Amino acid sequence: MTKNDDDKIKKIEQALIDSFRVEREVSINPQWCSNVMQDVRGLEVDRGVPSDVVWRFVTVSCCIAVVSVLVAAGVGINPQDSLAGLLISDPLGTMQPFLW
Amino acid sequence: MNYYKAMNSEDNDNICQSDEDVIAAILGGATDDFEIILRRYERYVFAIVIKHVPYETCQEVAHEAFIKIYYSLGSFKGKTPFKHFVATIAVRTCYDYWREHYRSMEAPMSSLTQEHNKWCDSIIAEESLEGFKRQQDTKEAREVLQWALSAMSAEERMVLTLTHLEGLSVKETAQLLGWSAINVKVRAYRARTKLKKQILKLIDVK
Repeated sequence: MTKNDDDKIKKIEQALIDSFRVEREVSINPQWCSNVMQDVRGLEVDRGVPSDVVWRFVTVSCCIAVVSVLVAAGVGINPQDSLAGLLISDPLGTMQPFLW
Repeated sequence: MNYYKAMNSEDNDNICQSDEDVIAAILGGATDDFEIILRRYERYVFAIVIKHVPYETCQEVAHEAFIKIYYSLGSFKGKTPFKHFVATIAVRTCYDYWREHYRSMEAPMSSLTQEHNKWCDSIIAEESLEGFKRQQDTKEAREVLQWALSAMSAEERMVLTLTHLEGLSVKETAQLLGWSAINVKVRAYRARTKLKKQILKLIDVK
C-alpha cells in the first residue's frame, strides 16, 4: 500500500464516518406503539424479587450454620457422645425388650 | 452527536412523573403505565436503532428492544439514569439482530454500481471542505458504508460502529456491550483493519 493509497483510504474513511454521523429521521408508524403495548400486556414482568429472597435466605442460612458450628465447638457438643448417652440412658424405654 | 450522553435536562422538562415512579407503578401491576415509558423513549430508541440496523427493520428491532426493557424493569436498580439502561438494551438488541442475521457472506464488489465509484472519485478528488461535506449525506455514501460493513461479523460491526463511527470511548462501548475494555480494544483494532482493507479493494478496482 502506497502513501497515496493511504491518503485515499483516510479520505474515504472520513467521508463514511461523517455520513454515518448525519442525523436521520425515522417515521414511526402510529400503529407501532399499540402493537408494542399489546405484546407487553401479554408478558409477565421479571420483578427480580424471587432471586433477592433466595439470596437473602441463603445468606441467613449460611450464617446460622456457621454460628451453630462455632457454638458446638466452643461448648464441646459432640453428636456421637450425645447419641451414645441417649442410647444408654434410654429415656423412652425403647431398649427394654432387648435387655435382660 | 453522541446521543448516549444527551442526558435528562431538556428531555425531562415536560415530565410530571419521574421514570422511577412509573417503573414502580409498572412493577406494582399497572402494566398500562409502560406506555408512558414507551412514549418518553421511543424517539431515543429509534435514534439508536437506526444507526445500527437497516432502515426497513428499525421498527421490528425497536419493538423487540421495548419488550426487553419491559421484561427487565425489575433489574433496574436506579444506580445509573434510566436512559443509560434503555440505551444499553437498545444497543444489545441491535447486536442480537446482527448475530441472528450474519451469514458470513460479504456483499460482492458487483453490488456497487457506477454511482458508487463516482462518489469515491469525487471524495478522493475533493479539495474544499464544503465540497467534501456535500458528499457526506448521499445515498451512495450510506450504501458504500453498508457494503464495507457487510464483510464484518456481528461483534466487529458493533464495535466498529460504536467506537470508530460514533466516536464513543472504549469504556462506554464496553459498558454498552457488556464486554471487557481489552476485548473492545482488540476487536476494534481488527475491525478497523478490515474496514481499511475493504476501502482499499474499492480503490484498487478503479
